[in-house]
Amino acid sequence: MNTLYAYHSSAVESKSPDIVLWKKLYSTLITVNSSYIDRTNTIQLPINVEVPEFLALPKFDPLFNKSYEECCQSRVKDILTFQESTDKPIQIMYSGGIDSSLVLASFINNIGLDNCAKRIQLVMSNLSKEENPTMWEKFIRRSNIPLINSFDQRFQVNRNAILVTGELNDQLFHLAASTAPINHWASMSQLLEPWSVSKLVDYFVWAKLETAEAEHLANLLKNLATHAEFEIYSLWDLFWYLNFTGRWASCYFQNFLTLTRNNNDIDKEAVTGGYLRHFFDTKEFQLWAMVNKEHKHKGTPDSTKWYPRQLVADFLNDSGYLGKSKHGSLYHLIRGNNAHHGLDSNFNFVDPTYDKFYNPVNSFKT
Amino acid sequence: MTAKSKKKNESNPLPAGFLVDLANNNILYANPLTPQYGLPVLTELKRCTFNSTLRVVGNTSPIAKFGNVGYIKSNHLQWKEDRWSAEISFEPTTEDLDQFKEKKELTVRRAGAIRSVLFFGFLILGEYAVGYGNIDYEASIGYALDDNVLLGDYAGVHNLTVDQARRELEFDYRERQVKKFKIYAYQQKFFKDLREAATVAEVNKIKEDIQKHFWKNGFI
Repeated sequence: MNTLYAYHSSAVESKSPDIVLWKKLYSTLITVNSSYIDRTNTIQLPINVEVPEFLALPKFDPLFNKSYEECCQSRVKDILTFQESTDKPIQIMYSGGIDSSLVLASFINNIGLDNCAKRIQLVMSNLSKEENPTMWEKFIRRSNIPLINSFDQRFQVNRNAILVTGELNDQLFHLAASTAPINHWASMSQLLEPWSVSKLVDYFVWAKLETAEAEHLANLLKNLATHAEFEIYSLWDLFWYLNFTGRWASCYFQNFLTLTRNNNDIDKEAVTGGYLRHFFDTKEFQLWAMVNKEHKHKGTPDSTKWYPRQLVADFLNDSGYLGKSKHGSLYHLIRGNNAHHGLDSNFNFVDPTYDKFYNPVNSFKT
Repeated sequence: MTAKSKKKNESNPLPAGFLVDLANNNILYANPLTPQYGLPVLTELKRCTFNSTLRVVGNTSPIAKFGNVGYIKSNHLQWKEDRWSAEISFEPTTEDLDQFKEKKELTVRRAGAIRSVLFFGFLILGEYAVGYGNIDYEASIGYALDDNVLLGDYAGVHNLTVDQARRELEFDYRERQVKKFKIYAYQQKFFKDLREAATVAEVNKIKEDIQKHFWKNGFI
């Protein structure tokens, strides 16, 4: 059976009522035209999907006590060890945003700026300088780290370099989509109240779903929450958990859909062999996210991700960074002109058509 | 000429409107455009619409005016004493005007699409506009990369080593060149598509592609 690692939901034809209802999950809670694959296997999709073993949800460990900074340092060491065995350069996709700034800061903290120049290359653009001017002025500009212009390089995973991105930090800290209508439905304090099926139904009805549809989706989320290995307390927790469990694997592969031009750009052995390292894709970071609630936000909508932001500000010794607004600087890489719509488990680009991938045994049948 | 109209003409020397050759239904001139893009759009538009051998139409040519549309009949024109003149006077008929409607619409849409391509190009490159009057220092950067004295000056100003100075200038220069070239490549593609479009619907589809490419998809 052919299964998908990632897909664009809008590319699947709405040929049956279960597909129609399934797509409403995207428009209300995730992001239209994105990919969602539940790593807990609680929510069965109406298309055949699969999560590769290396992206499986780790088993919850209530005794996990490493800090986020320790997880960062472990990850740096892990990548450096891999580099020593391969003798290939580490290429950091550096946008200047919080995630990639933290990645770079972690490397500098670990081996120093001079050694970074010997082991690391930065894939960035002039916009990355504007995104984090202090990092540019204080560190990158004063170093000899080789710079690769991101306008000049295609996204390609191969065995010539170890590609490191800042992906998946969002899934540790964020709701499924910051643009989802949920943010208009309730205030942050309401989202921090205990979740209930009736509140979920209220939300879906508010988002213009029929009552029966709303009840169906609310019960799916209820199943997701009640099967979790740790307490899902609030609505916010539940929507974060949806992102954490459902968007992890699909975000891992998302860049392949939007950045890669053809199958030749994917060296399967390189991907599975560790030449692509989404920095935050480790078991430790995930365990940290499961046991740490207080570091995700401070109770206000604009405080999500405050903790990694604080770490970057501390590294830069620049308190002004705490109030900095985000401007994407690698958008030209992330958005592709001829995006693919599906990636199957053999790393081939496919059209996720209904006829090829429909799964009749799914959670969206009413 | 009033001071106001003089000022307007200085900023946009091309009078607004259309000039149509009723002999072959060609639009010879169209300028429904904002001043800053008027000339390049007109240049590109010419490639789309001018297939007549008649290229020069002076203000003194016999033109029948109808609103902001001027009409000539090129088969009535003769070159006499350094200017075009007509042997026969004419008035555009209702049929002439009806025939022109679709073509006018096509031209306006084409002009809008061409303007979009140019606008996005300027917008994307605008971030590199440095200094008074958008002076382009790109050539200077390219020159300095081959001149160690200038590189040393730059390094001194910014408290960098010469190698660091070269690295960041090469990085900057390369990005400008790559971006410009990619804009150029896509502009040529879209201009070609627009030249080949025969209907308003086709032009509208290309305009969607332009928007999608340069805006929604972030250009590359």
